[in-house]
Amino acid sequence: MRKVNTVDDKLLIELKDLKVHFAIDEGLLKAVDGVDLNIYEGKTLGLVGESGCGKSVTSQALLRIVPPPGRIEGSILFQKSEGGTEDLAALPMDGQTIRAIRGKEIAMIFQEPMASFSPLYTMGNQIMEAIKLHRTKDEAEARAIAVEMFKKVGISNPEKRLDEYPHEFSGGMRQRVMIAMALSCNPRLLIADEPTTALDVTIQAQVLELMKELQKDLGMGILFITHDLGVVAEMCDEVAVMYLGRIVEKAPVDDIYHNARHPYTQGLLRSIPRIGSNLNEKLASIDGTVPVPLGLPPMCGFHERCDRKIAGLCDRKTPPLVEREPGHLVRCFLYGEEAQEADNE
Amino acid sequence: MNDKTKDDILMEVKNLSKQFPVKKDRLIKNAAWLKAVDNVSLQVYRGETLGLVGESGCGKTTLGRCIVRGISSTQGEVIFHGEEGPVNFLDLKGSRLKKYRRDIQMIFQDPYSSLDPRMTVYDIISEPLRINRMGTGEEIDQKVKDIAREVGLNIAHLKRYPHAFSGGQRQRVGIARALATNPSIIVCDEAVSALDVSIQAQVINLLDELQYKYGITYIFVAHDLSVVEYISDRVAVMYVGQVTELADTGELFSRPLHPYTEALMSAVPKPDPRMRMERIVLEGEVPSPIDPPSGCYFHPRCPYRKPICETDKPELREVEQDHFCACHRAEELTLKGA
Ligand SMILES: Nc1ncnc2c1ncn2[C@@H]1O[C@H](COP(=O)(O)OP(=O)(O)OP(=O)(O)O)[C@@H](O)[C@H]1O
Ligand SMILES: Nc1ncnc2c1ncn2[C@@H]1O[C@H](COP(=O)(O)OP(=O)(O)OP(=O)(O)O)[C@@H](O)[C@H]1O
Ligand SMILES: [Mg+2]
Ligand SMILES: [Mg+2]
Repeated sequence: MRKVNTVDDKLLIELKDLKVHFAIDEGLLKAVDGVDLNIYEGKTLGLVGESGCGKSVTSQALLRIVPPPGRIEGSILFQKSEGGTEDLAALPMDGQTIRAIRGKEIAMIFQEPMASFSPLYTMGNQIMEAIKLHRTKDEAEARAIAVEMFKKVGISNPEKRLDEYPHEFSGGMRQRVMIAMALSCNPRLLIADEPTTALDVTIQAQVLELMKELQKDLGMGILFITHDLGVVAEMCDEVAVMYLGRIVEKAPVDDIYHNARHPYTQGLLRSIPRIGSNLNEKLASIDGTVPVPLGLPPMCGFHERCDRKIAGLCDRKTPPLVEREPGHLVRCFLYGEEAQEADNE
Repeated sequence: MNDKTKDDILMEVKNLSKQFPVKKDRLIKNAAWLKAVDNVSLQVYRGETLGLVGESGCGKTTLGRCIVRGISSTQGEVIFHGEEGPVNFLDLKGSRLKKYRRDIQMIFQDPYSSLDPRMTVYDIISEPLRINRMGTGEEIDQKVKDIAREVGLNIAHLKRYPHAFSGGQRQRVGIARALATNPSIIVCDEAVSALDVSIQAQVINLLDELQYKYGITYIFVAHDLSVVEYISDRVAVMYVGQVTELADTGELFSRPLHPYTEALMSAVPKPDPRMRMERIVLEGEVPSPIDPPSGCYFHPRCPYRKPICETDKPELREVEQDHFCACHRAEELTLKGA
């Protein structure tokens, strides 16, 4: 098992109190509401959490591609390859600097492949465009790199496939092309948003191996967003659990699986269907749905669904994110003095 | 689903094929064909869930789309056993087609591209109801809200457009839309793959409940084998356009007969970092459906291959009762399950 956050680890990017708010008709939608995260060179940080909790928006913020009317606050400190830091949150959205970083330094695998390709150009055109922008000006060399990457993600007949259009690819193949595209420029930080959701397990295994290999070779840091807790266990060094725009628990991967503290994390782990177990029972699920982050009062976002909530506390105050054990942060009143006080009342 | 009889069959897929033309190559004179679905025959029993798994690009979505007539098939039949007795759904036209279409629905894999961005979510869900005039305005309104609630969408957000929803929320919209017309069979193409586990569990439980209540039959395409095992009565495994194994779920997972199925089982990541494991990493390239290998399509990657596998194509046959497999060595191999 690899260790987390030792002194040797080189910080690659640091999110400080990151907020992304959308002013929509119904009010201010707080998609991301005060997130602190560090990603280190050569390490993988997993980001998991309920659908709609703000994972994709967080990653869009890193690349400064949050669609309007989204507004970013806080800072995103990126360690530049030539030294020094750059606050990505302070950069103009379409300026030179961020465009030079996008694709080259920070690459992203998007959650919905179909949405990220243009239907009008061949896959080859689209992947080679990125390569020519960041790696080589030479057409033939760019094509050779593209073919090589297609092979690495398990696409057969790469030469022919390069000349085909996105609609001619299966869902999983599109996802693989996107992975090939993201990895083709040897990024220092890879943001992978549900990168293997559409892949069968054998191809998934192959792609995960490829990511690990490149990580070893290049020291790439990875932000790995997924709801597949099997993949998280396989890939990540550290895991952050997000709920309603905030981090509710963060710990080394082993701790998350064997010593989860937050009731939401515990619920997630219970909901995983496991091969060969209790097939006739209903799957455990967490009842209820996530509230929409619109005009919510201070409270624990999870309290309505929590079977261990402390009345008068969890629905009135927002619990702070506190380090309960070294490297293990939890945002829950159950583990603080407040809980005992509430008990005594 | 143990005593299957002919009467219980809801749908028979017979010798279904779908080929896509491939652009001309400088080297090859004639246009090549990509056999996405290659002579597939399957029976689907009333009220069951038939799982469909296989390598990315092996033809699962194409098969599903052929079945619901989202695209035309190159060859074959889809016999649907409805109230009026068996009909070939692929032959229907006009009002009869429209009627049967309500019965056969699909939830699409890519929620982004399958939802019209110019329609509100409310319109997306109610469209099939309005088209088929299934109730008064008020009834339709009520129904849309009920379904939305059932799949876990917030009623207050139905007037929004799909882009303002997260990936998982969009997937629920697709499920709601498919449920709207009370279909008797739904092809669920990676319907829960984009959902986080707790919502995934909710949706799976919901699909289960609807099956129990209304007897809906599912063809359930997914790559998450633990989900497939949980939800399916039987499972079919596909490889390069063909069905290579088909059996009851428990049987398939505990005693797979096809080496590809074994490789699949071994590749499932375990939800425990202490069990980062050894898996059968398939050697060799993923075969191309444009020019598949000779003999058994799996032979270049098969650890158990024999000379015969390189030359002769194995047929899908009933190796044991209700357990079908297309492998020359099905009888002699003892393979590891999940
Ligand atoms: N362009 C937008 N305009 C308004 N609201 C948005 C926009 N994009 C996202 N949201 C909202 O922000 C919240 C967070 O969405 P996000 O896409 O980050 O979720 P997610 O955690 O990635 O979920 P999933 O697992 O389903 O992909 C959701 O409530 C979503 O509805
Ligand atoms: N419209 C099309 N034109 C040309 N080829 C196509 C078209 N649609 C699919 N194909 C090809 O048919 C094959 C099967 O694709 P299909 O989408 O059915 O796979 P799948 O099993 O659903 O894969 P995945 O698990 O990745 O979704 C692939 O090789 C794909 O490239
Ligand atoms: Mg997302
Ligand atoms: Mg598919």
